[in-house]
Amino acid sequence: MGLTAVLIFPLLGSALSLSPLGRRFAAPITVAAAAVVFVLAVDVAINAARTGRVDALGQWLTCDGLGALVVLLVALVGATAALYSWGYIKVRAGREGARKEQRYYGLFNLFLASLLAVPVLANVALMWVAVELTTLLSAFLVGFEDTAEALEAAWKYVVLTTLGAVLALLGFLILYWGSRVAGFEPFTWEGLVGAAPHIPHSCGRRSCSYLWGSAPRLVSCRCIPGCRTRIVRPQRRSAPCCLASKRQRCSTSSCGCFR
Amino acid sequence: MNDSPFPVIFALDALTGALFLLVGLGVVATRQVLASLQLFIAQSLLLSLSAVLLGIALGSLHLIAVAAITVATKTVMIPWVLRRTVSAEVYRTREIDRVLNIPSSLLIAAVLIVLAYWIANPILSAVDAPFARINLPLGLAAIFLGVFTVVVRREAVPQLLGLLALENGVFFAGVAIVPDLPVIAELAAAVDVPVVALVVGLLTRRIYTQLGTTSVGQLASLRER
Repeated sequence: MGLTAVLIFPLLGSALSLSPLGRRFAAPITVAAAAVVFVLAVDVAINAARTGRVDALGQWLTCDGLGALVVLLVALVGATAALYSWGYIKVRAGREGARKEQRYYGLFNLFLASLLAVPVLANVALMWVAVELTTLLSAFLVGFEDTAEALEAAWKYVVLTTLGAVLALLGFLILYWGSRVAGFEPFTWEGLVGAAPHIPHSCGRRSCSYLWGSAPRLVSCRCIPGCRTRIVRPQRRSAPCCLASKRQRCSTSSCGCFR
Repeated sequence: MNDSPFPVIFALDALTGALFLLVGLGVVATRQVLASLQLFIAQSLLLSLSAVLLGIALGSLHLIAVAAITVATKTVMIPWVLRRTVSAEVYRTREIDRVLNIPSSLLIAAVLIVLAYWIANPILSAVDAPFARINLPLGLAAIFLGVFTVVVRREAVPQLLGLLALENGVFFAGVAIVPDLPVIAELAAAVDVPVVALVVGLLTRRIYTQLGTTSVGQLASLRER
Protein backbone atom coordinates (compact mmCIF):
# COMPACT_ATOMS: atom_id res chain seq x y z
CA MET A 1 0.00 0.00 0.00
CA GLY A 2 2.72 2.44 1.00
CA LEU A 3 4.60 1.62 -2.17
CA THR A 4 1.69 2.60 -4.39
CA ALA A 5 1.16 5.80 -2.45
CA VAL A 6 4.81 6.76 -2.98
CA LEU A 7 4.05 6.95 -6.70
CA ILE A 8 0.57 8.44 -6.40
CA PHE A 9 1.41 11.49 -4.29
CA PRO A 10 3.82 13.12 -6.78
CA LEU A 11 1.27 12.54 -9.56
CA LEU A 12 -1.38 14.15 -7.39
CA GLY A 13 0.97 17.03 -6.66
CA SER A 14 1.56 17.51 -10.37
CA ALA A 15 -2.14 17.54 -11.20
CA LEU A 16 -2.86 20.03 -8.43
CA SER A 17 0.03 22.31 -9.43
CA LEU A 18 -1.23 22.44 -12.99
CA SER A 19 -4.84 23.00 -11.93
CA PRO A 20 -6.19 26.55 -11.31
CA LEU A 21 -5.45 26.01 -7.63
CA GLY A 22 -1.78 25.83 -8.53
CA ARG A 23 -1.70 29.41 -9.73
CA ARG A 24 -1.23 30.54 -6.15
CA PHE A 25 -0.34 27.41 -4.23
CA ALA A 26 1.85 25.33 -6.55
CA ALA A 27 4.89 25.67 -4.32
CA PRO A 28 3.25 24.67 -1.01
CA ILE A 29 1.42 21.82 -2.73
CA THR A 30 4.69 20.49 -4.08
CA VAL A 31 6.44 20.79 -0.74
CA ALA A 32 3.56 19.01 0.99
CA ALA A 33 3.51 16.20 -1.60
CA ALA A 34 7.27 15.74 -1.40
CA ALA A 35 7.14 15.68 2.41
CA VAL A 36 4.41 13.04 2.39
CA VAL A 37 6.41 11.00 -0.10
CA PHE A 38 9.43 11.19 2.19
CA VAL A 39 7.45 9.95 5.18
CA LEU A 40 6.00 7.11 3.09
CA ALA A 41 9.48 6.26 1.80
CA VAL A 42 10.73 5.94 5.37
CA ASP A 43 7.81 3.61 6.06
CA VAL A 44 8.61 1.52 2.97
CA ALA A 45 12.26 1.36 3.98
CA ILE A 46 11.40 0.18 7.49
CA ASN A 47 9.05 -2.46 6.09
CA ALA A 48 11.61 -3.63 3.55
CA ALA A 49 14.24 -3.85 6.25
CA ARG A 50 11.93 -5.89 8.46
CA THR A 51 10.48 -8.28 5.89
CA GLY A 52 13.14 -8.29 3.18
CA ARG A 53 10.77 -7.30 0.42
CA VAL A 54 7.64 -5.22 -0.07
CA ASP A 55 5.18 -5.95 -2.87
CA ALA A 56 2.22 -3.92 -4.03
CA LEU A 57 -0.39 -3.91 -6.80
CA GLY A 58 -0.21 -7.66 -7.20
CA GLN A 59 3.53 -7.96 -7.85
CA TRP A 60 3.71 -5.08 -10.34
CA LEU A 61 5.62 -3.04 -7.79
CA THR A 62 8.31 -4.55 -5.67
CA CYS A 63 10.97 -3.14 -3.45
CA ASP A 64 13.82 -4.95 -1.74
CA GLY A 65 16.45 -3.49 0.57
CA LEU A 66 18.54 -1.89 -2.16
CA GLY A 67 15.46 -0.50 -3.89
CA ALA A 68 14.27 0.93 -0.57
CA LEU A 69 17.60 2.70 -0.09
CA VAL A 70 17.27 4.33 -3.52
CA VAL A 71 13.64 5.28 -2.87
CA LEU A 72 14.66 6.85 0.43
CA LEU A 73 17.48 8.85 -1.15
CA VAL A 74 15.34 10.07 -4.04
CA ALA A 75 12.55 11.06 -1.65
CA LEU A 76 15.00 12.96 0.56
CA VAL A 77 16.54 14.84 -2.36
CA GLY A 78 13.08 15.49 -3.80
CA ALA A 79 11.78 16.92 -0.53
CA THR A 80 14.76 19.22 -0.01
CA ALA A 81 14.72 20.34 -3.65
CA ALA A 82 11.01 21.15 -3.39
CA LEU A 83 11.66 23.20 -0.27
CA TYR A 84 14.48 25.09 -1.93
CA SER A 85 12.46 25.72 -5.09
CA TRP A 86 9.79 27.55 -3.10
CA GLY A 87 11.84 30.68 -2.67
CA TYR A 88 14.14 30.25 -5.63
CA ILE A 89 11.78 29.75 -8.56
CA LYS A 90 9.81 32.88 -7.79
CA VAL A 91 12.93 34.94 -8.47
CA ARG A 92 13.96 32.91 -11.49
CA ALA A 93 10.64 32.65 -13.30
CA GLY A 94 11.01 36.14 -14.71
CA ARG A 95 8.52 37.82 -17.02
CA GLU A 96 6.06 35.02 -17.54
CA GLY A 97 5.77 34.61 -13.79
CA ALA A 98 2.98 32.49 -12.41
CA ARG A 99 2.37 30.30 -15.46
CA LYS A 100 5.99 29.40 -15.86
CA GLU A 101 6.19 28.64 -12.17
CA GLN A 102 3.18 26.37 -12.46
CA ARG A 103 4.77 24.52 -15.36
CA TYR A 104 7.94 24.10 -13.36
CA TYR A 105 6.13 22.51 -10.43
CA GLY A 106 4.04 20.30 -12.67
CA LEU A 107 7.16 18.91 -14.34
CA PHE A 108 9.06 18.72 -11.07
CA ASN A 109 6.42 16.45 -9.54
CA LEU A 110 6.18 14.23 -12.61
CA PHE A 111 9.95 13.97 -12.69
CA LEU A 112 9.97 12.93 -9.04
CA ALA A 113 7.34 10.28 -9.79
CA SER A 114 9.40 8.85 -12.64
CA LEU A 115 12.55 8.79 -10.49
CA LEU A 116 10.67 6.92 -7.78
CA ALA A 117 9.19 4.50 -10.31
CA VAL A 118 12.61 3.29 -11.48
CA PRO A 119 13.57 1.36 -8.34
CA VAL A 120 10.09 -0.01 -7.56
CA LEU A 121 8.79 -1.30 -10.91
CA ALA A 122 9.05 -5.07 -10.99
CA ASN A 123 8.96 -5.53 -14.75
CA VAL A 124 12.35 -4.79 -16.30
CA ALA A 125 10.92 -3.49 -19.57
CA LEU A 126 8.67 -1.05 -17.73
CA MET A 127 11.65 0.09 -15.70
CA TRP A 128 13.35 1.01 -18.96
CA VAL A 129 10.37 3.16 -19.85
CA ALA A 130 10.58 4.87 -16.46
CA VAL A 131 14.28 5.61 -16.96
CA GLU A 132 13.48 7.09 -20.35
CA LEU A 133 10.70 9.18 -18.83
CA THR A 134 13.08 10.71 -16.29
CA THR A 135 15.01 12.13 -19.23
CA LEU A 136 12.06 13.46 -21.14
CA LEU A 137 10.38 15.00 -18.13
CA SER A 138 13.49 16.73 -16.90
CA ALA A 139 14.58 18.10 -20.28
CA PHE A 140 12.57 21.26 -19.80
CA LEU A 141 13.69 21.58 -16.20
CA VAL A 142 17.29 21.68 -17.41
CA GLY A 143 16.43 24.31 -20.02
CA PHE A 144 14.12 26.19 -17.69
CA GLU A 145 15.93 29.53 -17.78
CA ASP A 146 15.80 29.85 -21.58
CA THR A 147 19.30 31.26 -21.76
CA ALA A 148 21.76 30.08 -24.38
CA GLU A 149 23.64 27.97 -21.87
CA ALA A 150 20.56 26.40 -20.35
CA LEU A 151 19.23 25.42 -23.77
CA GLU A 152 22.59 24.04 -24.83
CA ALA A 153 22.72 21.97 -21.66
CA ALA A 154 19.18 20.73 -22.28
CA TRP A 155 19.96 19.76 -25.86
CA LYS A 156 23.13 17.86 -25.03
CA TYR A 157 21.42 16.22 -22.10
CA VAL A 158 18.46 14.98 -24.13
CA VAL A 159 20.46 13.72 -27.09
CA LEU A 160 23.11 11.93 -25.02
CA THR A 161 20.68 10.33 -22.62
CA THR A 162 18.24 9.23 -25.33
CA LEU A 163 21.13 7.68 -27.21
CA GLY A 164 22.14 5.78 -24.10
CA ALA A 165 18.57 4.73 -23.41
CA VAL A 166 18.05 3.27 -26.87
CA LEU A 167 21.25 1.27 -26.58
CA ALA A 168 20.08 0.07 -23.18
CA LEU A 169 16.81 -1.02 -24.79
CA LEU A 170 18.76 -3.32 -27.09
CA GLY A 171 20.55 -4.64 -24.03
CA PHE A 172 17.23 -5.40 -22.35
CA LEU A 173 15.92 -7.13 -25.47
CA ILE A 174 18.98 -9.36 -25.65
CA LEU A 175 18.68 -10.08 -21.93
CA TYR A 176 15.03 -11.00 -22.40
CA TRP A 177 16.00 -13.24 -25.27
CA GLY A 178 18.60 -14.90 -23.09
CA SER A 179 16.17 -15.45 -20.23
CA ARG A 180 13.61 -16.88 -22.62
CA VAL A 181 16.15 -19.28 -24.08
CA ALA A 182 16.90 -20.27 -20.49
CA GLY A 183 13.20 -20.96 -20.03
CA PHE A 184 12.21 -18.42 -17.39
CA GLU A 185 9.19 -16.50 -18.49
CA PRO A 186 8.42 -13.46 -16.29
CA PHE A 187 10.78 -10.65 -17.21
CA THR A 188 11.19 -9.35 -13.67
CA TRP A 189 14.22 -8.98 -11.45
CA GLU A 190 13.13 -12.12 -9.62
CA GLY A 191 12.89 -14.00 -12.89
CA LEU A 192 16.31 -12.80 -13.97
CA VAL A 193 17.90 -13.96 -10.75
CA GLY A 194 16.43 -17.40 -11.45
CA ALA A 195 17.49 -17.39 -15.08
CA ALA A 196 20.98 -15.97 -14.59
CA PRO A 197 22.91 -19.27 -14.41
CA HIS A 198 21.22 -20.53 -17.59
CA ILE A 199 21.59 -17.53 -19.88
CA PRO A 200 24.02 -18.23 -22.72
CA HIS A 201 27.28 -16.53 -21.89
CA SER A 202 27.57 -14.42 -25.04
CA CYS A 203 24.00 -13.15 -24.61
CA GLY A 204 24.62 -12.10 -21.05
CA ARG A 205 27.90 -10.45 -21.87
CA ARG A 206 26.57 -8.52 -24.84
CA SER A 207 23.49 -7.30 -23.05
CA CYS A 208 25.62 -6.20 -20.11
CA SER A 209 27.95 -4.23 -22.32
CA TYR A 210 24.97 -2.43 -23.84
CA LEU A 211 23.54 -1.72 -20.43
CA TRP A 212 26.84 -0.39 -19.18
CA GLY A 213 27.20 1.59 -22.36
CA SER A 214 24.40 3.64 -20.94
CA ALA A 215 26.02 3.88 -17.51
CA PRO A 216 27.25 7.45 -17.91
CA ARG A 217 23.69 8.63 -18.22
CA LEU A 218 22.61 6.89 -15.07
CA VAL A 219 25.01 8.78 -12.90
CA SER A 220 25.16 11.92 -14.96
CA CYS A 221 24.92 14.86 -12.67
CA ARG A 222 22.67 17.58 -13.77
CA CYS A 223 21.81 21.03 -12.70
CA ILE A 224 18.19 21.89 -12.56
CA PRO A 225 18.20 25.63 -12.42
CA GLY A 226 15.43 25.62 -9.86
CA CYS A 227 17.28 23.88 -7.14
CA ARG A 228 20.92 23.79 -8.13
CA THR A 229 21.03 20.43 -6.53
CA ARG A 230 23.04 17.62 -7.90
CA ILE A 231 20.37 15.05 -8.45
CA VAL A 232 22.14 11.84 -9.11
CA ARG A 233 20.12 9.30 -11.01
CA PRO A 234 19.24 6.31 -8.89
CA GLN A 235 21.56 3.66 -10.03
CA ARG A 236 20.00 0.81 -11.84
CA ARG A 237 20.17 -2.41 -9.92
CA SER A 238 22.69 -4.39 -11.83
CA ALA A 239 21.49 -7.39 -13.72
CA PRO A 240 22.60 -10.44 -11.80
CA CYS A 241 24.73 -11.98 -14.51
CA CYS A 242 27.04 -9.03 -14.80
CA LEU A 243 27.91 -8.65 -11.16
CA ALA A 244 31.30 -10.20 -11.58
CA SER A 245 32.00 -9.63 -15.22
CA LYS A 246 31.94 -5.92 -15.88
CA ARG A 247 33.55 -3.08 -14.11
CA GLN A 248 31.38 -0.08 -13.78
CA ARG A 249 32.44 2.57 -16.15
CA CYS A 250 31.05 5.98 -15.59
CA SER A 251 32.32 9.36 -16.49
CA THR A 252 31.31 11.94 -14.00
CA SER A 253 29.92 14.73 -16.09
CA SER A 254 29.01 13.32 -19.44
CA CYS A 255 26.34 15.86 -20.16
CA GLY A 256 28.57 18.80 -19.40
CA CYS A 257 25.77 20.82 -17.98
CA PHE A 258 27.54 22.15 -14.96
CA ARG A 259 28.35 25.76 -14.98
CA MET B 1 21.22 -19.92 -45.69
CA ASN B 2 18.61 -22.42 -46.84
CA ASP B 3 18.22 -24.25 -43.55
CA SER B 4 15.15 -22.21 -42.64
CA PRO B 5 11.73 -23.87 -42.71
CA PHE B 6 10.28 -20.84 -44.53
CA PRO B 7 12.51 -20.30 -47.59
CA VAL B 8 10.29 -17.73 -49.31
CA ILE B 9 9.66 -15.61 -46.25
CA PHE B 10 13.31 -15.94 -45.31
CA ALA B 11 14.35 -14.57 -48.69
CA LEU B 12 11.78 -11.76 -48.52
CA ASP B 13 13.01 -10.83 -45.06
CA ALA B 14 16.58 -10.74 -46.36
CA LEU B 15 15.48 -8.41 -49.15
CA THR B 16 13.66 -6.20 -46.64
CA GLY B 17 16.76 -6.15 -44.50
CA ALA B 18 18.97 -5.12 -47.41
CA LEU B 19 16.63 -2.26 -48.30
CA PHE B 20 16.46 -1.29 -44.62
CA LEU B 21 20.24 -0.98 -44.53
CA LEU B 22 20.32 0.95 -47.80
CA VAL B 23 17.76 3.45 -46.50
CA GLY B 24 19.77 3.76 -43.29
CA LEU B 25 22.79 4.74 -45.37
CA GLY B 26 20.56 7.28 -47.07
CA VAL B 27 19.71 8.89 -43.72
CA VAL B 28 23.45 9.33 -43.13
CA ALA B 29 24.19 10.73 -46.56
CA THR B 30 21.33 12.94 -47.76
CA ARG B 31 21.79 16.69 -48.09
CA GLN B 32 18.23 17.85 -47.40
CA VAL B 33 16.18 17.58 -44.23
CA LEU B 34 12.96 16.64 -46.02
CA ALA B 35 14.65 13.81 -47.93
CA SER B 36 16.09 12.62 -44.64
CA LEU B 37 12.61 12.54 -43.12
CA GLN B 38 11.18 10.66 -46.09
CA LEU B 39 13.95 8.11 -45.91
CA PHE B 40 13.20 7.66 -42.22
CA ILE B 41 9.54 7.00 -43.04
CA ALA B 42 10.57 4.47 -45.68
CA GLN B 43 12.83 2.81 -43.11
CA SER B 44 9.95 2.55 -40.64
CA LEU B 45 7.76 0.98 -43.31
CA LEU B 46 10.46 -1.59 -44.06
CA LEU B 47 10.70 -2.30 -40.34
CA SER B 48 6.99 -3.01 -40.11
CA LEU B 49 7.17 -5.11 -43.29
CA SER B 50 9.84 -7.23 -41.66
CA ALA B 51 7.68 -7.53 -38.53
CA VAL B 52 4.72 -8.70 -40.64
CA LEU B 53 6.87 -11.26 -42.49
CA LEU B 54 8.18 -12.65 -39.21
CA GLY B 55 4.70 -12.57 -37.76
CA ILE B 56 3.43 -14.74 -40.60
CA ALA B 57 6.36 -17.14 -40.40
CA LEU B 58 6.22 -17.56 -36.62
CA GLY B 59 2.43 -17.34 -36.40
CA SER B 60 2.74 -14.52 -33.88
CA LEU B 61 0.02 -11.92 -33.52
CA HIS B 62 2.37 -9.83 -31.38
CA LEU B 63 4.51 -9.01 -34.38
CA ILE B 64 1.55 -7.93 -36.47
CA ALA B 65 0.63 -5.62 -33.59
CA VAL B 66 4.19 -4.31 -33.51
CA ALA B 67 3.97 -3.58 -37.23
CA ALA B 68 0.68 -1.71 -36.77
CA ILE B 69 2.08 0.30 -33.86
CA THR B 70 5.19 1.14 -35.88
CA VAL B 71 3.20 2.36 -38.85
CA ALA B 72 0.92 4.45 -36.63
CA THR B 73 3.66 6.10 -34.59
CA LYS B 74 6.55 6.42 -36.98
CA THR B 75 4.95 7.16 -40.31
CA VAL B 76 1.96 9.17 -39.08
CA MET B 77 2.59 10.65 -35.65
CA ILE B 78 6.25 11.60 -35.93
CA PRO B 79 5.95 13.50 -39.23
CA TRP B 80 2.87 15.21 -37.79
CA VAL B 81 4.70 16.16 -34.59
CA LEU B 82 7.66 17.48 -36.56
CA ARG B 83 5.41 19.49 -38.85
CA ARG B 84 3.67 21.04 -35.86
CA THR B 85 6.84 21.93 -34.01
CA VAL B 86 9.59 22.60 -36.54
CA SER B 87 7.92 22.86 -39.94
CA ALA B 88 10.21 25.65 -41.15
CA GLU B 89 13.23 23.47 -40.48
CA VAL B 90 11.79 20.46 -42.27
CA TYR B 91 10.60 22.22 -45.40
CA ARG B 92 13.35 24.72 -46.00
CA THR B 93 15.55 23.53 -48.84
CA ARG B 94 19.16 24.02 -47.97
CA GLU B 95 22.15 21.85 -47.46
CA ILE B 96 22.60 20.40 -43.99
CA ASP B 97 25.73 21.43 -42.18
CA ARG B 98 27.85 18.37 -41.47
CA VAL B 99 31.19 17.50 -39.96
CA LEU B 100 32.46 15.08 -42.63
CA ASN B 101 31.82 15.12 -46.35
CA ILE B 102 29.54 12.49 -47.84
CA PRO B 103 32.10 10.06 -49.34
CA SER B 104 34.09 9.76 -46.13
CA SER B 105 30.88 9.37 -44.09
CA LEU B 106 29.83 6.50 -46.33
CA LEU B 107 33.23 4.85 -46.04
CA ILE B 108 33.05 4.97 -42.26
CA ALA B 109 29.47 3.69 -42.45
CA ALA B 110 30.68 0.68 -44.44
CA VAL B 111 33.26 -0.08 -41.75
CA LEU B 112 30.51 0.17 -39.11
CA ILE B 113 28.35 -2.35 -40.97
CA VAL B 114 31.19 -4.86 -41.05
CA LEU B 115 31.73 -4.22 -37.35
CA ALA B 116 28.04 -4.95 -36.70
CA TYR B 117 28.33 -8.39 -38.32
CA TRP B 118 31.47 -9.10 -36.36
CA ILE B 119 29.79 -8.21 -33.05
CA ALA B 120 26.56 -10.09 -33.76
CA ASN B 121 28.32 -13.33 -34.64
CA PRO B 122 29.03 -14.70 -31.12
CA ILE B 123 25.41 -14.26 -30.04
CA LEU B 124 24.10 -15.94 -33.17
CA SER B 125 26.35 -18.94 -32.69
CA ALA B 126 25.13 -19.31 -29.09
CA VAL B 127 21.40 -19.24 -29.76
CA ASP B 128 19.30 -20.86 -32.43
CA ALA B 129 16.95 -18.38 -34.08
CA PRO B 130 16.74 -18.46 -37.87
CA PHE B 131 15.49 -14.94 -38.49
CA ALA B 132 17.91 -13.37 -36.04
CA ARG B 133 20.63 -14.35 -38.51
CA ILE B 134 19.31 -11.62 -40.81
CA ASN B 135 17.76 -9.15 -38.42
CA LEU B 136 20.26 -8.94 -35.59
CA PRO B 137 23.34 -7.88 -37.58
CA LEU B 138 21.33 -5.53 -39.77
CA GLY B 139 19.60 -4.02 -36.76
CA LEU B 140 22.97 -3.51 -35.10
CA ALA B 141 24.28 -1.93 -38.30
CA ALA B 142 21.31 0.46 -38.33
CA ILE B 143 22.04 1.29 -34.68
CA PHE B 144 25.66 2.15 -35.50
CA LEU B 145 24.56 4.21 -38.48
CA GLY B 146 22.08 6.07 -36.27
CA VAL B 147 24.76 6.93 -33.72
CA PHE B 148 27.05 7.94 -36.55
CA THR B 149 24.33 10.22 -37.95
CA VAL B 150 23.94 11.95 -34.60
CA VAL B 151 27.70 12.46 -34.43
CA VAL B 152 28.20 13.65 -37.97
CA ARG B 153 25.26 16.04 -38.33
CA ARG B 154 25.48 19.49 -36.88
CA GLU B 155 21.81 20.43 -36.90
CA ALA B 156 18.91 19.68 -34.63
CA VAL B 157 16.34 17.94 -36.84
CA PRO B 158 18.82 15.68 -38.69
CA GLN B 159 20.26 14.65 -35.32
CA LEU B 160 16.77 13.78 -34.14
CA LEU B 161 16.22 11.70 -37.27
CA GLY B 162 19.46 9.89 -36.52
CA LEU B 163 18.15 9.08 -33.05
CA LEU B 164 14.89 7.78 -34.48
CA ALA B 165 16.71 5.68 -37.07
CA LEU B 166 18.71 4.24 -34.19
CA GLU B 167 15.48 3.27 -32.49
CA ASN B 168 14.32 1.63 -35.72
CA GLY B 169 17.49 -0.44 -35.68
CA VAL B 170 16.78 -1.65 -32.16
CA PHE B 171 13.29 -2.74 -33.12
CA PHE B 172 14.52 -4.35 -36.33
CA ALA B 173 16.77 -6.55 -34.23
CA GLY B 174 14.07 -6.85 -31.57
CA VAL B 175 11.32 -8.32 -33.75
CA ALA B 176 13.55 -11.26 -34.58
CA ILE B 177 15.01 -11.99 -31.17
CA VAL B 178 12.00 -11.36 -28.92
CA PRO B 179 8.84 -12.00 -30.96
CA ASP B 180 6.82 -12.37 -27.75
CA LEU B 181 7.76 -9.36 -25.67
CA PRO B 182 4.79 -8.43 -23.44
CA VAL B 183 2.46 -6.12 -25.35
CA ILE B 184 2.51 -3.57 -22.56
CA ALA B 185 6.26 -3.14 -23.04
CA GLU B 186 5.82 -2.77 -26.80
CA LEU B 187 3.12 -0.19 -26.30
CA ALA B 188 5.13 1.76 -23.77
CA ALA B 189 8.20 1.79 -25.98
CA ALA B 190 6.08 2.82 -28.96
CA VAL B 191 4.47 5.69 -27.08
CA ASP B 192 7.89 6.75 -25.95
CA VAL B 193 9.13 7.41 -29.49
CA PRO B 194 6.70 10.19 -30.50
CA VAL B 195 7.25 11.73 -27.07
CA VAL B 196 10.98 11.87 -27.77
CA ALA B 197 10.20 13.56 -31.09
CA LEU B 198 7.86 16.01 -29.37
CA VAL B 199 10.31 16.95 -26.62
CA VAL B 200 13.20 17.36 -29.03
CA GLY B 201 11.01 19.29 -31.48
CA LEU B 202 9.82 21.71 -28.80
CA LEU B 203 13.36 22.12 -27.57
CA THR B 204 14.52 22.84 -31.11
CA ARG B 205 11.87 25.48 -31.53
CA ARG B 206 12.85 27.10 -28.28
CA ILE B 207 16.51 27.05 -29.26
CA TYR B 208 15.54 28.68 -32.56
CA THR B 209 13.49 31.46 -30.97
CA GLN B 210 16.12 32.19 -28.35
CA LEU B 211 19.32 31.81 -30.34
CA GLY B 212 18.22 32.25 -33.95
CA THR B 213 19.86 29.05 -35.13
CA THR B 214 19.32 25.31 -35.07
CA SER B 215 22.96 24.45 -35.65
CA VAL B 216 23.29 22.68 -32.35
CA GLY B 217 26.81 21.62 -33.33
CA GLN B 218 27.89 25.20 -32.77
CA LEU B 219 26.60 25.32 -29.23
CA ALA B 220 29.86 24.78 -27.43
CA SER B 221 30.04 27.17 -24.54
CA LEU B 222 29.70 24.48 -21.89
CA ARG B 223 32.77 22.40 -21.36
CA GLU B 224 34.10 20.06 -18.77
CA ARG B 225 36.50 21.65 -16.42
